Amino acid sequence: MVDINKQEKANILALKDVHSFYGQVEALRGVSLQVKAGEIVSLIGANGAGKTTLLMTICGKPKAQKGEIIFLNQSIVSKPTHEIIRLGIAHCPEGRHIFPKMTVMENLLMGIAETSKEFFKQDLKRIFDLFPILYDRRTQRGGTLSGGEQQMLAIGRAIISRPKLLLLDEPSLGLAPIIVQKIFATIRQLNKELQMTILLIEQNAYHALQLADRAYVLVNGYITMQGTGQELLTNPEISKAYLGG
Amino acid sequence: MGYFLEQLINGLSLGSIYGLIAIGYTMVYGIIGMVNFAHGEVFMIGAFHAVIAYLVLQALGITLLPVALIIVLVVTIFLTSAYGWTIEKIAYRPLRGSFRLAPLISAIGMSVLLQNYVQLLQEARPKSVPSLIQGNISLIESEDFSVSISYLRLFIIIATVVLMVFFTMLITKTALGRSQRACEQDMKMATLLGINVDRVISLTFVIGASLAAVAGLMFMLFYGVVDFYMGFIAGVKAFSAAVLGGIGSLPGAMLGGILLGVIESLFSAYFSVEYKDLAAFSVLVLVLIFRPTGLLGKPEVEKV
Repeated sequence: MVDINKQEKANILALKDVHSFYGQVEALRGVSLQVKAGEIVSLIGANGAGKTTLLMTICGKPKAQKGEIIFLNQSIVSKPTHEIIRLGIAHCPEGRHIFPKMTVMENLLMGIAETSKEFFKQDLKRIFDLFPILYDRRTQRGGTLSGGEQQMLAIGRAIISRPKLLLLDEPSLGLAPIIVQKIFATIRQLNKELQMTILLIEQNAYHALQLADRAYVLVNGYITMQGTGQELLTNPEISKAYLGG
Repeated sequence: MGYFLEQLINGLSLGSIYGLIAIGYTMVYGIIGMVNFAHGEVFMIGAFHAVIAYLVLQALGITLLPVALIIVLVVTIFLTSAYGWTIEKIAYRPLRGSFRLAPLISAIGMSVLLQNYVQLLQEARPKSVPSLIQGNISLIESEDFSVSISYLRLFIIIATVVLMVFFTMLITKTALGRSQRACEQDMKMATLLGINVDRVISLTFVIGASLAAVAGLMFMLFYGVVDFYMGFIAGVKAFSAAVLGGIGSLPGAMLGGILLGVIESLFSAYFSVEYKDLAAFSVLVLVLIFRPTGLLGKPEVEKV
């Protein structure tokens, strides 16, 4: 596999000293990180470490109180959420957030509602190749799908617009182990075959680190450690705190 | 029998007007969870625009009925939806994210403001227009009874059906409709998919106001009289219709409106005109006792 992107190592996303609040609480206290083209970057951390707030802050919801967020060489820190998204960021949030009363097709259409429709047919085919079950369910309402199917739909909806950066928040949360395997395999596939750049949040640290080119550890709103996925996997501290031994 | 059918048709046309207003209530409630108490006034302003547009056309000498009606319709929709848009912008948007009662209070304030504004500009005296659409067609002629329907009622019912079909297509088939439903079901996610939620909310008010404007025009044609206070009772009725049908449900709003209209007409025909509102609201109370979510407001069963 030719991987031009990794040779260039262009920054897709860069956060510099970002501070952000979750309600009254300062959830991010000066976070800096980079995501380069073609990478999977994982962010691991305990509950309440600020992982979700970090992804939401990238999308401008809430806005960063301090610091700089650069996406594709432009500052997005003061832009409204819908404009940030239209620049090419797709966010697949925790809890899937499928529109329950819309059909699977309509849910997928929402992924491109505000972007280009040129490639819609090809893109749709790509999604259905990736998740054949969604094709079978295409006229069913989102709310009637199982958890795993909803997660597939959520990922499909996020990538149908061909985003330049995919943010995945806890894609394995609450799913059966076999489905979790499938989801992680899909994430790898998106990265390897479609050259998608991914920033992934996971509680399942083992999987997240295995998948990652690079990873960051977030503790109480600070980045405490970073390195390649392998480095962190073999780090004794990490293994004690996040890998159960 | 003939009398019954005529009253039924009467009720259907009245119910169409209620239903069109009710959609504005139910859509706004669906998307931002507030009751837009100023919506009755939007209807009243629609009726005034219709009267003014008609009088201007008459002064200009355009009296050919279909032409005049279409111009009045377009002008009324345009001006009234501008009001709907502005009301949202100045009275509700700044309060988004504040406590739940704030926009409600603002809505009541807006309602009072609009009533007084129209009263100041147009005086308190009711304005009347001659009936524009006259004549009847006979539906059934038999020895025992005959049923005829006036062109006016026929116009109202057909126009409502056409509007409803158009509106349903808009909501179910277009990207705009999808965005609207997406915001209704999960506003946070809609934003994360790149939808400009503020724009969708504005459009919701514009659509609601347009339908209320058509209802206002129909009211003017139906009763031939408009006054600055007419929005209050019509608003209460339409809101009840929305609740009766299940607030948040679009077909529910239409069904609720028609039911309310029919009940009112039949009750006034057979019992007493004075107590028609009592009958309408009693039905509302009964439905709410036995089906608190309204007729079509059944919450979806969802897997979590």
